[in-house]
Amino acid sequence: MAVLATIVFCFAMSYAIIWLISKFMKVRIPEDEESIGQDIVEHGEPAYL
Amino acid sequence: MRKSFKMMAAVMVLATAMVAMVLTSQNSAADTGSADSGSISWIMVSSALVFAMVPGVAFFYGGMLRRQSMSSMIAQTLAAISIMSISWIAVGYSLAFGSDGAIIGNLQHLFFGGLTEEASGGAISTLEFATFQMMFAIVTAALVLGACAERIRFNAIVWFLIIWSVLVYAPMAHWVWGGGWFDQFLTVLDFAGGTVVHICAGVTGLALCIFVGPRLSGTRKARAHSIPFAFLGAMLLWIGWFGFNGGSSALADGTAVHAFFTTQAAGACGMAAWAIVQYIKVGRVGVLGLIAGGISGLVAITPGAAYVGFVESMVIGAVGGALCFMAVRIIRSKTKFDDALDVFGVHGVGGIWGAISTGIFAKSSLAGVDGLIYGGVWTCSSDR
Repeated sequence: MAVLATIVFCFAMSYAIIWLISKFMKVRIPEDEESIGQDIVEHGEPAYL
Repeated sequence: MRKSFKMMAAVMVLATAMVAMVLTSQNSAADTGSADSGSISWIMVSSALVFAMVPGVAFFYGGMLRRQSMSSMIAQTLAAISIMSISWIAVGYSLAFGSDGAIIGNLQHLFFGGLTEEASGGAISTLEFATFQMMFAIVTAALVLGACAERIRFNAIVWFLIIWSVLVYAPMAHWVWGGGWFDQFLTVLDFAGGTVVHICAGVTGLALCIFVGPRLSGTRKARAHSIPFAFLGAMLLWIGWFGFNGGSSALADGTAVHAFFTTQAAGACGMAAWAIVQYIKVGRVGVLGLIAGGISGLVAITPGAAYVGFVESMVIGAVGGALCFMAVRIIRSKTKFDDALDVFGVHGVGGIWGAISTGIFAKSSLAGVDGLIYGGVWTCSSDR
């Protein structure tokens, strides 16, 4: 019961929050940037040289 | 658009600072009761151990991603440290532990106002407890990151964690530990955070990975770039777990020793069970399977660490390991969800099993109420 309530609440609320954020900004990186990797496209800091 | 966010951020920082200044003026007088230095020490060490799980998460997750996502994982984990700490200090603690209202706490402890550092009556001080709890908030947020790794924007996850820490984590902590409605109307046995930390992180991760969508197939198929890092991270998590479970009685007592032991027993059995099932199903066992199995066992024992006997803890760990292996396999093959690092498969499913198994195996001599086996009824879901 408590487990069920937790699952429903966390899922619904988290989904609502990320949905709200998606109205203000892009939430995921474009496909070509994904293959390059976030280290470079987002942070400009590759972990390995 | 960009400008409005900068404005918003600046206004928030300013407002925060102003409230902080008002509140710091109301520090309460030091308590002068007897203090248990053993408990004070152990909970401070436990807090540090729980914090060590956070870099553990970064190594564990980062090691399993592609090499071009390693710094991104580290950066997101660092952001979680900063956001969750500030949010917990500012409002989180007060919302979670401020009062025993059914839905949410109150705002009387904003910026840790009214907390004392002096312990009294053999218990730890409120400040120490609040700090210990802050580490849990950070770990929960860090665990979520694995589900949407390699594709969610850094800005988006930062905003997500800021809002999530107040709207999801604080209420969950309040309901289970802070006297909320779970506590009032249901008998919930959650010793160290199986529900608050693991189920919550697992389900939040699932929501994020569904909303953001799967990674490219090439990214999905890529192998773990650093097995040693994954191993290092998993072992940091395991070491931290002794503080996570062992510190959750908030005292240095027999309960702490009990939880410390069951943690190790369940982790070992989870690893063995995952390995055996994987060997039967796949034909070989490796580092990633062994560490995932260990973590599954540790997740499963978290809610019941102090409430179940020795043999039961081993059973819980073993079933947790086997169950999580099957769950991860099913999620990967049968669904389209791209839970990049099996956050739901391990923490969600392991946490759910842990909560149910605690209801099954709890002993009244340890937990105060009997579970299914020792009590013969579903105390887990009945009224107190």
